[in-house]
Amino acid sequence: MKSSYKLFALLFCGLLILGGCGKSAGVQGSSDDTIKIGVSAVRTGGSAEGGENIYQGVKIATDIINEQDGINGRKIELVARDDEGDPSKGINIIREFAQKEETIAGIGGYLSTVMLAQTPIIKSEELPFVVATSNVPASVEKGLPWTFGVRMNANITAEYALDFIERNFKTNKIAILHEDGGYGTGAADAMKKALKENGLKPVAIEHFSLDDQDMTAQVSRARKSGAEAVYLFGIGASNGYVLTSMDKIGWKVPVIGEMGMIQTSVPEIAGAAAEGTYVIQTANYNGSQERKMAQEFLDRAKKQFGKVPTMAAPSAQGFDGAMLLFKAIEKIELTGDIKKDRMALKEVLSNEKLSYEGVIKDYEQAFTPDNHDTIDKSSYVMNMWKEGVLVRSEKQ
Amino acid sequence: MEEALASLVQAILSGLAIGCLYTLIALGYNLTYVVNGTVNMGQGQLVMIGAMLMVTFTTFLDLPFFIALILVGLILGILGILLEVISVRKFVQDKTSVNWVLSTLAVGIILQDLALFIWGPEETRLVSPVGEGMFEFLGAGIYWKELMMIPAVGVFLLLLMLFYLKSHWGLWLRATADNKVATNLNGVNSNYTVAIAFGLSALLAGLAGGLITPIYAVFASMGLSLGLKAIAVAIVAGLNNAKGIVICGLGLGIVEVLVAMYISPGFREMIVYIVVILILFIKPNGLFGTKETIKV
Repeated sequence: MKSSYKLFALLFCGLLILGGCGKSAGVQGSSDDTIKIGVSAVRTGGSAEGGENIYQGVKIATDIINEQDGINGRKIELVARDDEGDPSKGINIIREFAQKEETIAGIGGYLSTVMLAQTPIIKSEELPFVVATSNVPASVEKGLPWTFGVRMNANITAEYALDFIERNFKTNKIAILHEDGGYGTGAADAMKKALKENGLKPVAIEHFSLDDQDMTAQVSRARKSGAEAVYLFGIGASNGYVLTSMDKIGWKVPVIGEMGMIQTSVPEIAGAAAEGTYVIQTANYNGSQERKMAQEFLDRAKKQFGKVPTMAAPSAQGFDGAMLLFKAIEKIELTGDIKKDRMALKEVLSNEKLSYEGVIKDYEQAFTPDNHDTIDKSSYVMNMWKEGVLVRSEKQ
Repeated sequence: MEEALASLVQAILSGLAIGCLYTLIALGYNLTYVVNGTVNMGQGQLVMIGAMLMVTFTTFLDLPFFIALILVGLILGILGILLEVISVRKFVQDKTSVNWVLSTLAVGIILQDLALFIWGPEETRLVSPVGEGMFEFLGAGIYWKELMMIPAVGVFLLLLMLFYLKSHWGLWLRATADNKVATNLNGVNSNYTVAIAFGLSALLAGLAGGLITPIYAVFASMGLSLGLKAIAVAIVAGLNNAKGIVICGLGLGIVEVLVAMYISPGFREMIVYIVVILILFIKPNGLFGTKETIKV
């Protein structure tokens, strides 16, 4: 009995040693066989549609490159993880990418609360990470050399929206209605900043929880303030409830939102009240595509997933973000030392030209050492809900 | 002045609409509590399953709204009986055990994950059988589909009262609650009675889930927060008083909107739950609940 126990212990130690050896010499983010890229996004829960769209964009980009024999002969392997909308899970995923899976880079995002929690970990782990959706400016900023935004930055979105409202509706009396999480609060702060830079301030700021089903109080107060336009930053159904509450009190003013307005649940919940509301995006998939890559992307999506991605911006940003990442990896010589490879990748992303004709726009130098956000005002497209379909708005 | 009146009327109308939602769910807690002192902590998830099935039956199988609603009620009724057998019966044999809290909560989470797997995470809503029109009153508005929830709550309450007072099952249910041993000695299987109570409670949850599909977003993770709000209503009212649950459910809805409108939306939950604690501090059995007398 005793000898068999010793034998088992010896075998166990042997396995441990072998496992350790394998780890130090073997598979890494830039192993001989594949190049590992981590994908972190919410794939379950109420916001899963957004994460799923990012993943679809990244997956299509990966398949295109792999069909062309990968990057310098090495295939890309995606390590996809679901953050479940939980910041602590998001943090663990970044650590898993950096330490266990040893991916050369990561891509993803969506929920700002998760992205904000992940940002310092990305920095401390020194993992290049493309933020494909998450509007909070603080996740891609000076002092954060490892994050690169192919996303709509709330500050840029607010400037674009203010300009759109002033040009098209000749008013700057704006009420901000936002959900009380990172996404809505970030957007509200950005609009306040944009207004302040023009010597203005919002006439009303109202917030709500994503669990609320009734927004009567918020819209009543916003109307009382004399607002002539609503900057709406809820997510999905909550935006629908704001619109139905506006309908109930008979308040009709232009409503401008962003990512939280693109879910089909918005027109489903709000019905006719969603008609004519504006949605800021970086792409629109309804109608013919002017950009060659956009058409190719949609054709592939139909073939691969059986349908066009349900959310334009997250899928387009996931696709373009992944492509930019692959272009950058192509430019470095992988050494097998994951830390060195990540450092080299960061330098290429920050400094070098990455020419690529994407779904959203033509990229020349996507990022600079001073600016890690590649989506600017000219990349934006104003969309509008029309009979349950998100179409490109005539007003741009 | 007119605007202030319109705002007040709007707050009350909107509060009534949201209060109906809480009430429909909270009534389900009454049936099981009355019979064996337990509640299904996964009641919110049963409402969600009801709503999801309703969407499936009407959208994918093209069943008429009310036929689908009856079917949903029946399916949920059977699910409720199974839930009692699996996650309650064994755990209430020891009177001091509260394992049923965890087991019913666990079933709720399992149902939520199952729903996520089957239907995915997307939010959706059904087109209302009464149309999307609005009833306008003193400058305020409420959709007809929301207004229809008020008679629905009335019908639910009436059926529940008739069941308790006029049916054999209702009598056995009350008898089981009063003295389980004596009920068994009189030839009534109390296990069946408790299972039927859970079945009816789940049936109510299913009907509530089906009825709200034209008004609120339906999605796999909607159950937990709804269940929590509804259980707060049931506890404040007194779990053994169905009429009290209706009054408190509607009242909570109105108070929530009034607090949000005249104080701040940020204080809505806080003030409501402070009131809940205060009420329970003064009346531990709830506003309308009666204390069980223990015979010695």
